[in-house]
Amino acid sequence: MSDSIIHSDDKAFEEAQKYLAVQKRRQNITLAIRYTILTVVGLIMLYPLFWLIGASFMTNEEIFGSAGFMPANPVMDGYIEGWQTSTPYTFGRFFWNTFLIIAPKTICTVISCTVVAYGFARFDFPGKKILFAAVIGTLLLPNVVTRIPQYMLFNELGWLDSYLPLWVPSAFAGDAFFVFLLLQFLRSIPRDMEEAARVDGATSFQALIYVVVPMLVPAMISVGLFQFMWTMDDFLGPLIYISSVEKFPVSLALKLSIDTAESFEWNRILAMSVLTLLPSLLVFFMSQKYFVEGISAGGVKG
Amino acid sequence: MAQLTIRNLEKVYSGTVKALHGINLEVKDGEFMVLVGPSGCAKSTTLRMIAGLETVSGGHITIGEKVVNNLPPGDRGIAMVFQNYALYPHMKVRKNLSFGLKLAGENKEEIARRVAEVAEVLEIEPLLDRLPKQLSGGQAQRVALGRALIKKPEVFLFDEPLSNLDAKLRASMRVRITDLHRRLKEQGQSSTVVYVTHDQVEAMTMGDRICVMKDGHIMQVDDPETLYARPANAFVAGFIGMPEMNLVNATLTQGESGPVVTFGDQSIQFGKELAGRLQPGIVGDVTFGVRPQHFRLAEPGEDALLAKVSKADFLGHEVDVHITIGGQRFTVVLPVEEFRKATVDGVIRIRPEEERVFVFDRTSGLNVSLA
Repeated sequence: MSDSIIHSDDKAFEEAQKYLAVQKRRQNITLAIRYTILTVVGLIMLYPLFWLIGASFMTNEEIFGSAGFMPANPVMDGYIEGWQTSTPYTFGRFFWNTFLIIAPKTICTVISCTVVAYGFARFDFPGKKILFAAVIGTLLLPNVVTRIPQYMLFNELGWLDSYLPLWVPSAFAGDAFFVFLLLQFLRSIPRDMEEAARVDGATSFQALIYVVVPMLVPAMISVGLFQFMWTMDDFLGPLIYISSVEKFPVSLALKLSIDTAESFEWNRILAMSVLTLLPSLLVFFMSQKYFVEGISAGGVKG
Repeated sequence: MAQLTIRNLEKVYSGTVKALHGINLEVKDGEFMVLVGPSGCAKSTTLRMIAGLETVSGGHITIGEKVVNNLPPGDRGIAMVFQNYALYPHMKVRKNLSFGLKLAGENKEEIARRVAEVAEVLEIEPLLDRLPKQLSGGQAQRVALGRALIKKPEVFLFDEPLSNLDAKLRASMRVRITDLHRRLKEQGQSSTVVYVTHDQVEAMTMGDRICVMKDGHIMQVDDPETLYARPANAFVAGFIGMPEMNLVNATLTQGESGPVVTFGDQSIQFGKELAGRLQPGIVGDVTFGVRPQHFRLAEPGEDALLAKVSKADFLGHEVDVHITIGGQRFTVVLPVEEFRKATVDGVIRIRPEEERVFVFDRTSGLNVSLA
């Protein structure tokens, strides 16, 4: 009696083992298929970038002569000649100009948007709802609509051909999107800590600096990063307001090399494009952790 | 001197919703006052108004000699312990403790001395260099307590500080807080406390006096014993005590030798004791109150109520018996053995103890048996 029980148990065990083995195999196959598809799609998406980097090391003849992205004989010509540009200035000058726009703009954005978001998130004041609706309204307004009035305003102020029109609006929390992003993040931070700080004798502003800002850092880094990358990419802004070549940022300078060269030196343009991409890529990978945390934190953090 | 006085304090939200209806409360210097009540009774709102975290809609709050209505929280001489600790997450325990002193511009040596002192009292010295997220609930609450203590405030405010702790820790923190209060008092330091809780055990064990609140009104302010023995109204009677007091609809009539209380088809005769306590002219529909502990089994031949047992919860040494008398439900607490012996066919004969029963006005809920 007892023997047969053990026997049947053995059989059941074997069958279970077999069943599990089949399942495992199936799982492995689906996994393999899934990863193959993802890898292929990923490579297709990245191909233009690979081509850009590869082509920047080719000669002009090779760029148009072959389809692959690996240069047969890598040359640095594109970089060396591209850096010199067709203007009296090197590309370094344009990078410096870009920096002169980005640095104040990013810093001002982070500070002003934090203060404004804090105000909306934590204080009740008359007209708050209308003001907030206005802020969100500008978020939905297409940028182009305000270009002409803005241009006229800055013209009146005599700010044309300077960097002021590019960063001063940001110093007054002109970027509603960032205000909104920070506001959402702030709403997920409990007020108790600020109240504790108030009881500890802090003013609202001290509570902001000592208690709120340290908790808000991930979101502030995201804001800084977004602003950095968007400013780096911005073409229209500088195109409208900057007219002298010595003040051009890289986005305009790239266009410049297309305009002025009699026959396009594609390898130069591509090489400089790669350089232009580098700062954004570097900054992004260095702060990826905060970046992702900042964007995703709005709703989830408790 | 750190007496706290509240006069006609009102809170109105968004112009229409009245949360607090002009309450008056006096907390003496060194007193441990507990505000207790069901959720939504505005006890936390009251505390936050004292702290300065909510604006005052009417009336005034005085701490010591000064009216503090319009002072910022930091200038009121208060310290507060929050329910979820509210430690600054990015600061180590040491900085959490010293933040207030630093803002006040205290010098470094004094800050270090006070931190060491508080850390010793609360046994948090080994935790000083940790971040709040590395602390357990009990440790975090001790740090929060330390943050209040280090300021040497005139009034301590506690907002349900033990609600987030497990039962065992809660009991030990309760003792710690009362000990601390006693020690401060003995040292002659300011030790006035306003403590908000919804837990009546906390209220009864910790408070010198308890203020029972409901819907933005104060129901009764008294020491724990008085609150239990002489509740001012049916709400306080039902809120204080475990299990809850039986409050049932009954009819009161005048019998030959004293008041007679009738539940449905059953009635019971009381004697001179209750007659002497009752306000004159009370007859007819009333709310009758008696605590589950204040029933006893009737002697043979004694006037008694016949109670149908619907359920009995054994708790070891005693048993909570759920019974029906004349269609009304009651809970009775009896010793296990006595209950077993006395039950005949699911019926027991019981009597409320006359000295411990209460009669409340049916409409106003006021206790009319206190005279």
